[in-house]
Amino acid sequence: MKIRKTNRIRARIAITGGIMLFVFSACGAESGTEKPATEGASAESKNCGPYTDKIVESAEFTPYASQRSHLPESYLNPDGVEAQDVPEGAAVPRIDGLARQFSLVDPDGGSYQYFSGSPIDSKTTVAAFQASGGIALEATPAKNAGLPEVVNQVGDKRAIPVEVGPYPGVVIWADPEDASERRMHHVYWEADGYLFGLILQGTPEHAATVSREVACASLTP
Amino acid sequence: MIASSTVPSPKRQRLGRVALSVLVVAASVALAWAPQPALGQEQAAAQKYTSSTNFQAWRGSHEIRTGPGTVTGVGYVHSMQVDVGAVGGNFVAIGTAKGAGAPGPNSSCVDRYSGTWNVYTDGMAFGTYFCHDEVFNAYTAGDDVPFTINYGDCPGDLGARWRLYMGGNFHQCVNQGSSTGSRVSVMLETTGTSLVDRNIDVKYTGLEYLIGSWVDLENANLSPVDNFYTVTAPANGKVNAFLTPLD
Repeated sequence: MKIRKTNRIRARIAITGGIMLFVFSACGAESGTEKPATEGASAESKNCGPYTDKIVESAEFTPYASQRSHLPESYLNPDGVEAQDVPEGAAVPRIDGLARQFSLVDPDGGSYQYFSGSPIDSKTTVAAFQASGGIALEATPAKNAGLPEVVNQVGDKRAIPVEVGPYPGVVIWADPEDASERRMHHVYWEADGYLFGLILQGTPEHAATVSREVACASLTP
Repeated sequence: MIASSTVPSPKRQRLGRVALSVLVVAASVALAWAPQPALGQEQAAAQKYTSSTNFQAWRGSHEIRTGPGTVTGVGYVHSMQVDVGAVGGNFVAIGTAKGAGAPGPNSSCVDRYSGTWNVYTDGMAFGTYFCHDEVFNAYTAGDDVPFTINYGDCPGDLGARWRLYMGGNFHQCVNQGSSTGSRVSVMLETTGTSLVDRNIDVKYTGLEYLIGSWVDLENANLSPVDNFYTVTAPANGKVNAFLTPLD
């Protein structure tokens, strides 16, 4: 996940500036109180350690049984194809001790990486992957949907702000995707032109900590 | 004396065991042959999916074949869906429904126990479920209603999003991270926990997906989850799904 320094700085300035502008305008801050867009760059060494604050989540959610449409059973790699190469800037070999087992790439540059203690084959369902402690990392073009769109879609109550390395982010206690009623945590943040989404089990603090590991790894020269 | 008068003789005990065995077998046979009610939370699907995310759009028509008597706590759903991005998780859907709503923090889909079918949109975005009632009492049994799901510019300067159409009318734009999908599907579902018997029937025709050019749905993966549903694909682009017993 190494990126060239010039691109990194340019992307960080643009992204941090854009998000800061959104956050402060959403909070009703006067323009005179906004922080300079470049100030975020000096914070790259911050917020890379374990997330120690207590995250208080909304109790609101929609049980699987209350959802009107449902996806049929889903297989991660139904055709049993080889993993595809993930674009530089989004590729991660390992998360939280789990190796990357499979990856897919969108026609528009989005990528989907799956980390697990077990291989992923044509019979591996999304439900089984999640139940076994698998972690998914999505990186979709921020031009399609960025962090403001995530907050707008999900709502303030459920999109809890967290710092993901130097980047503003949100953690969401997701709705269940299957009849097990299992609820994953999603963490979203923007970096390098992508909206990153990390999907895993566990506490929200653990989710925030793991997302910091991923985001801060990209800052390593 | 009391004990000896209440304990059956060995012969009576054997007869009792035989009688019990016959009773169990008879009950099992009766249960196997008796019509059983469909359980809640059921679905039948015809879908096309791959290990890639190349689906750009999905369209076709759904003929509503029944107007099942609404039962409190039961939802009846015809759903047409695109699984956005990689398989699982995020999706967008448009369809017709009646009966039980979909209560939740991002849902405006309410109970509607009228005799006609309503248009709704729903899906999962960024890990959260959403649902909108679009038109109440829009269609009745016998109506054949086209649908389209595609990605493109939305009204009101919203930019490009997933667009949901029913009956030629635009209904909703949905923000998702990906502009393509990994699966297209048509569904027949009932929701709720009631054990009341159900009767619902839908016929999909002209099903096509866009992957550079429009392609007929063929060799669809059919997935009834139990023996009460029947789902067939009698020809390219056609799917019949119904839940027994039929009228």
